[in-house]
Amino acid sequence: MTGSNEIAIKNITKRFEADEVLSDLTFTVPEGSIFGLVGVNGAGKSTLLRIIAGVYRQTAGEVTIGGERVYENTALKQRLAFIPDELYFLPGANLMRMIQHYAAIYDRFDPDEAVRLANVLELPRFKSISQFSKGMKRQCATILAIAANPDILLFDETFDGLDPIARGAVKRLLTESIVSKKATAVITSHSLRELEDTCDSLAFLHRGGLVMQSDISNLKTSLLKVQVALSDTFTRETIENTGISILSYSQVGRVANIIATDGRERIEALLSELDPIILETLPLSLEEVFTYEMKQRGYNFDDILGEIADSNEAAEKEAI
Amino acid sequence: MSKDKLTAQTEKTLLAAKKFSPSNKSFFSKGIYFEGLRQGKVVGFIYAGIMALLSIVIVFGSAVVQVLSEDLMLTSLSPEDGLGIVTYMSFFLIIPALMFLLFHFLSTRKGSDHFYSLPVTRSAILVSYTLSAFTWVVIGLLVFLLPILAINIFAVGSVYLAGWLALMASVIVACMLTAAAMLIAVSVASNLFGQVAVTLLVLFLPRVLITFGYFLAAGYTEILFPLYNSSGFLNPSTNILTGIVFAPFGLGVFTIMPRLSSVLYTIGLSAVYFAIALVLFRRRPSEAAEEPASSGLAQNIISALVAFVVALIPIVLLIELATEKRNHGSYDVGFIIAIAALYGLSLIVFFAYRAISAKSLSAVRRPWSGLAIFLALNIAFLGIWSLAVSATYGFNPTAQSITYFKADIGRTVNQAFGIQSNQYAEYLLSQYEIEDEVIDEQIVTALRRNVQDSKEGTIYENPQNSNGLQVTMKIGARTVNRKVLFSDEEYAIIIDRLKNNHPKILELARSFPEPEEASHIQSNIITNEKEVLELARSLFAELQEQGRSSSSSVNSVYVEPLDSLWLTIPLNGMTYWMSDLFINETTPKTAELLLSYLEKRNPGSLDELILKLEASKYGRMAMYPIIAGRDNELTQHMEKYGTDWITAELGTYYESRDYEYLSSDYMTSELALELARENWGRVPELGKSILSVNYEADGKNVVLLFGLDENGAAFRKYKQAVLEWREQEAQQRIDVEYGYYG
Repeated sequence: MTGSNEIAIKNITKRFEADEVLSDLTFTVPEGSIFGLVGVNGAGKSTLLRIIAGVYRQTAGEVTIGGERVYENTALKQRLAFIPDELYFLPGANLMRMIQHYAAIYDRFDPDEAVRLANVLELPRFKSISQFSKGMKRQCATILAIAANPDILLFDETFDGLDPIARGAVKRLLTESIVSKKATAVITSHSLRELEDTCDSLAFLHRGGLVMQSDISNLKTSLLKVQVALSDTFTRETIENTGISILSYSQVGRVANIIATDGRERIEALLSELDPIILETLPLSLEEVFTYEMKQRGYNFDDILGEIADSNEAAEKEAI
Repeated sequence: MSKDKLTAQTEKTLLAAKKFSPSNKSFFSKGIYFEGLRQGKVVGFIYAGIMALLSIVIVFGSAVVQVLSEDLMLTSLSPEDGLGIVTYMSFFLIIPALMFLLFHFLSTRKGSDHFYSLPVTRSAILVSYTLSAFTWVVIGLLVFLLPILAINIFAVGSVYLAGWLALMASVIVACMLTAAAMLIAVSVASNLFGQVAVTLLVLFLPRVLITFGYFLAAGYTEILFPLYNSSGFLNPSTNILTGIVFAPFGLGVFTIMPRLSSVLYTIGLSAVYFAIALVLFRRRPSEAAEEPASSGLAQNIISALVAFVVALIPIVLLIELATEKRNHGSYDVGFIIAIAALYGLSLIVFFAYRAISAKSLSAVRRPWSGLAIFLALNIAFLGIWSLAVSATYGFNPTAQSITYFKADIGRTVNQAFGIQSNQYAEYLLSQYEIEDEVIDEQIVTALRRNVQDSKEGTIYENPQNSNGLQVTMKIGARTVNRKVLFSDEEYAIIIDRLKNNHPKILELARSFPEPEEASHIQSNIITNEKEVLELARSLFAELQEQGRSSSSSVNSVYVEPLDSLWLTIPLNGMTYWMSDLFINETTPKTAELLLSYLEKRNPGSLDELILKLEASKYGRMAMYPIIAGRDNELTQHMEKYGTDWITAELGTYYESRDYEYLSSDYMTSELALELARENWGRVPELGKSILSVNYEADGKNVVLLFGLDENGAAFRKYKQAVLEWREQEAQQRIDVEYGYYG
């Protein structure tokens, strides 16, 4: 049975006893997109993913995929694969045993495909998975999820903690699968850099709430860093008078660095009128885009993004 | 990483995986079911292996022995031997092991998340895994049952098939209840400690509360039936599992043939528990894994219940205190101290459970909701007890309202008719519905007095309350049980009415069962199953012809019978024994039948007997006279000092026993010679002394009976020796020593 794979999250609230972990979340994951969910620890990413996967039941609100509710919907879950942050394998199982386990439950599971992928990744099929490294376990889980031929894939911090080689292998597997099957995927991560390469769009969660959602391409083009140098002395006002919308402004001598929300062509056209000595537009990293976007919305995320950067560093050290 | 080859095994696995077509139904998943079988296979195979071993050792071994010894008793293969091990293993060990193994995923966050993410409903996980566990239990039981069925099918012996099948059925029913309780446990508690605690609470606490409550109410009022005799829902054996577990404490029954009502009740209770488990399991949040319970409320309830189990002890003391106050007007202060101390203990248990289940001392904080529940439980129990006592006292029927009554009138009937009924007859009498307004009047009068005396604490002090009966009254749609204490006058009226107005009662008092109803029937000297059945049939018919209700040796000329039978009969889930069914000259037809059976195996002569004994590994022959005439000195002597054995020593084939007080060599030689010359082939004359010859050959014990010549020299010498010895022993202490001398 095939249907729309659009994931609609409407007014989702989730409480654990007295703690409200998700608060009135609403957004949509378009069909066929690779959607990133980013946020610090405790933001609610894993909880939200589990609600989408039908593992948790929301306190309020509704999650639908293709218009159907997920919770206890076995037909829908046949088309859904979930790889959690903490992986589970049957006690004492090897990869073949897990293939057997998945084949028994998923209609569309292709054992041949699972074996083929295992061979590609050179994973031993008859060795106990408990003896695998973290990266190998994640590869196992990824193989099993892909071999189930899902239309919807949910990954919870799948890449975090992996060494660059393992990360690359897993990422390749996933993107090939997603693209070939035109699946909808939701990936959570601490790392904006990780999601930047993989995702079409992103949502930023903080303390259970949705702070921001946007296409990555829009994000990247929504802000520009402009470096301009003029022969004459000038002030911020000079630049503003050209009609440019300035988000951030810093000046040293006759060189100014501007973050503007106008498009490249417009900015260049407006600044050209000032006959600049130097006029360069520079790309912003996703982190920088986020920072400025949040500031626009009244959030100060310097500390938080620092935390994200720290956790990325720590994870990479652990993987090495 | 090294590449490994695609082995034939891998291909097989893949093929099997591909062929599989998972079900998408809500309550069952073939995939999860087969997963459960795979996961449980180690435990399942070990269990099947142990059951196979048990069946070989217990069942097959005894079957081989019985087949080789020719005569197979009706009960040669009965479940009693394997009962304990099979029963206890199956539901105390195997089903919990399998259930905890299969549902262990609920105890970890990642396990829980994994299974709840699968395209299987929670109901299907619960049902399918439970069926997997049961499949292994059934496999094990079938392995155990196969040799029994084979023996029966191929007719190489006799088996009590109904008993074995009943045992298997009751084991499965007990396993169902255990599994259902465990499902509730895994739905509300998330670690092994909590799950074990909740399982035990669900399985036993309700019945403990009912039993305790009834026990306390019966003890306080003293007019309710004893617990073991209570009927229906109140009896612990109504629940097969608690019946078995409570049996060692005298509150239940361990029977291989439970009542149908018990089986149905236990199945029904399992279904209720299963339904509750289904609801709880579906509601159980995945995030509850690794928490002590599925919610704060669940944890409070569980910890309160655990503490309440301990609190039952001070509750008993509280009621004891109330009884003391009622009966004596005061009570010992020690009660108060003990009650306070025990409640303190229950509070310690409350906090300890919370700390251990949460693996953290901080869990003892915020206990107020749990304590409130604990308090409410105590108040509720005492409140219900109080209501039960009030209801007991409040039952005040009129004679006209009693449609009929039943009572344990066996003793009463025996007194009325001067007879001695057998147990079977007494059971029939206890079930007889009596309609008699005069007796009804005695019942209500006595009951009214008993209630008043009980309220004042003087029920046993009132001299009017001297004859007790357990009475079951039918009043409209209700059936009410009361222990009623009658005065001598009231009791005499009852006896008179039963004797003169209910002819059916005498008929019942003289009833005997059909021997085929017995699950076990045995004779002292006949080992052939068919012959024993015929003896029983003949004996019962003969006794009924004579208008006798039992067969005893009281009216016989013999102190000991020629033979005696005993039977066990399952009736309505209980087992009744009939013993001391004597065959003697007062039952001449049966005695003749017995003699004809003995004559069949009688070697034609003493020489032939000697040859038989020669062929045996060892031959030992014993003779003793069964003396006729109760009133003579000889039988009085034998009655007083026990049966006197004389062994005959004939050549080197026999062992003999020497008695220091009797010149046995001389005397027994005389008897043996007489046996050879005169008594061999002499049919015993019933009512006259008989010579019993007892020997062992081919592993069987054989008894022969010969007519003893009371005027013969041997017997006269025997008599003389015994009487002389009687004089000697008057002056000295006798130590009888039984020894064997080669």
